[in-house]
Amino acid sequence: MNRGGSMFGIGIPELTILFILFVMIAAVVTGVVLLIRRSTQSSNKNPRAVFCMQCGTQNAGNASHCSRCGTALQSPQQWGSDSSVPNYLAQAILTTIFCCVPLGIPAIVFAAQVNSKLAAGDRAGAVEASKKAKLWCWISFVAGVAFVIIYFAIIIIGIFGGKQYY
Amino acid sequence: MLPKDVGKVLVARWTPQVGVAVLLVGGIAITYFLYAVDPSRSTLYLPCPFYTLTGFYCPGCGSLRALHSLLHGEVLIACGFNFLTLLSLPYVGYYFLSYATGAVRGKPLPAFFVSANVIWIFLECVIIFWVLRNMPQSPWSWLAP
Repeated sequence: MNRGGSMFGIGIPELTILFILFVMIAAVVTGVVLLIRRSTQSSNKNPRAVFCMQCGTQNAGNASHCSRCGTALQSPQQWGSDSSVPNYLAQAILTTIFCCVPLGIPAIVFAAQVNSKLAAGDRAGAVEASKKAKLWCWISFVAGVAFVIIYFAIIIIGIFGGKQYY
Repeated sequence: MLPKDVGKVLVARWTPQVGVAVLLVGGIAITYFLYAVDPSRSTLYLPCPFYTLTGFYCPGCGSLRALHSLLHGEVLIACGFNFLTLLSLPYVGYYFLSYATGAVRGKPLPAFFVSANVIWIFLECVIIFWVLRNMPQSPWSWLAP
């Protein structure tokens, strides 16, 4: 049903209100996400610092070898392309979409944290965030499975004991 | 009679190749089931926990119907059911392809490093999508399944 001079079947003033509402929602969500992001920021205050892959000691950005154990250091750029710390983003998306439990959202947050810490050269922090991402994927998955079990339990109770409720 | 250490044996036998085989068989079975049984007509599928408990759509509501439509080649209808699923399908698909090739050849396909900024923007899109699809107004109710 498209009346004259209107889009989507509604008038221009309504569209303006809808657009303003959309901007407000987007602003609120952006603010919340930025707050979460800031509160989970990497503990690596000096972005040029490099963490040793062997012992985890923080070294100056221009150091070529670890000051504690002498291992050759890799630059953060090399770590940034290193996929050896899994971020479980694919699993997080899958549990968010298919387990239908919004518990997958923290998993996506921690997946983002893994990659930001990897890019900053904080490998220990990335491993930590990776574990949390994995944990939230499992929490979301288990919550989905628990719902399935409870759902079937209710159906079975309904089949065998439901008649007295009518 | 089961041996006492059946759990240990199962864990020891769980190689990446077994994982790929399980993924492949499970994936084909689920794909066929999705193709054959229409989620919008059948009661064989489970309802969404979030929708059942709160009455609001979750970001994943309609994803099974979207995949069913996609398997039947109806891309636009699939977009109408759940746009987000279609958006994230290539990434998830590539992830499992990379995992499978890594397990079979011993060397995974080059995993591309998704920048943290992109993941944060994706998260924002998920939340905005979630809010908007619960709006009863006309242009946004298209996002609802």
